[in-house]
Amino acid sequence: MLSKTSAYIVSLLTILSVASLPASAVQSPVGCNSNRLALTLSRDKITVQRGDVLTYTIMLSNLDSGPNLACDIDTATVTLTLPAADGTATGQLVTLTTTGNYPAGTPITLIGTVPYTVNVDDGVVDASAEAEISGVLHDAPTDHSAQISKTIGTTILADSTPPSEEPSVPSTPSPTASSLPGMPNTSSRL
Amino acid sequence: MKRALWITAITVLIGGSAGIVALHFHQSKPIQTFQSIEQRDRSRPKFSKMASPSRFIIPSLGIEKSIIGVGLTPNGDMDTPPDNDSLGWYMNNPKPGDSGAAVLAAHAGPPENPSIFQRLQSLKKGAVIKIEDKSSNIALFEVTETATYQPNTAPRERIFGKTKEPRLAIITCTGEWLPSDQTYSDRFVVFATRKL
Repeated sequence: MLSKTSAYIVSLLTILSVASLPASAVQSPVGCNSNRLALTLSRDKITVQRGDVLTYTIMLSNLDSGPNLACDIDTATVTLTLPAADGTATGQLVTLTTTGNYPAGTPITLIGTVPYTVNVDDGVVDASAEAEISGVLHDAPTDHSAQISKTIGTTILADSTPPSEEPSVPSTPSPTASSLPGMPNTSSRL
Repeated sequence: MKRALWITAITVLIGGSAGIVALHFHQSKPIQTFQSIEQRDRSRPKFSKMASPSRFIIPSLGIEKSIIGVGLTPNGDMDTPPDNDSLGWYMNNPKPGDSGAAVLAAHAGPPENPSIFQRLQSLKKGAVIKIEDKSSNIALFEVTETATYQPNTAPRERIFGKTKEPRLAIITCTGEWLPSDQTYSDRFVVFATRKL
């Protein structure tokens, strides 16, 4: 009698504990076996001078590759850290999204462009920027983290004109991308 | 004898529990109990979490179309689907049904070949929109408002900005056809909130 009661209580507790598991932690799509997130950081110029505007572009994808089946990624934050005055990627942080969703099959997708007015100290010959994505990977009943960071440098050429007493480089922070997109052109694709 | 002992034990247990419960209710102030229930409910998600969207359904308009993910165009605008027969979901924003502003866009088609999405302009407040995700979960939305904006002056914060509640904004073209630009003068936006 007691063993039956014990079995009943154990079963009840098991059901209750399983029912309380978070519903969002599942492998998705079922059978996926890879973290296929890919991040691309590029800039529109190879060499610049101080005061030039450099535009960074951040793209990503989450595509299958042969037997490597991509798992969904969501709740992703995508950021770009601009060059600091010393040229290292430790300057202004630009957040492109904190709610990104990149399910399996996401083609190469433009996440954002960030203009940056080159504003490094005199004598600095290289300016680096770093893009980073951090999201939730739905690869197993327990979710895991999907993180990538990419860096790109740009050569800074010496000023072509003799520096004046007052630097021509703007002292205000560089312009940054708006995190909100423009309205889509929903006329037609035909 | 054994049975009598069991009955006695169970009676004592039930009686004791009832006494503890009664004592608890007697000692607790009703407003505190109510507040604690409210706080508990606030911390609990109101709606089930959704996977990536796959189908867009408006029963009253006879629309049932697929949804594909889109990002940005090179000039920083929300991108659109590659055809006039599906909707684009802006992947940098939340999934439809999750907390926040999910944004969809669909082509209206040129005047000589209008798409089914021109019907969106007849949507009225209270109409029901269904979003099915790829796991076959369904979120139900209710239209709260429709509005027409010029593309350059549209309230982007209102359309794309953060919200606490699950919200949907569906964008399509409307207004005057501009042949030189191959687009329309305005954008029609349907706002809806999740109900189920």
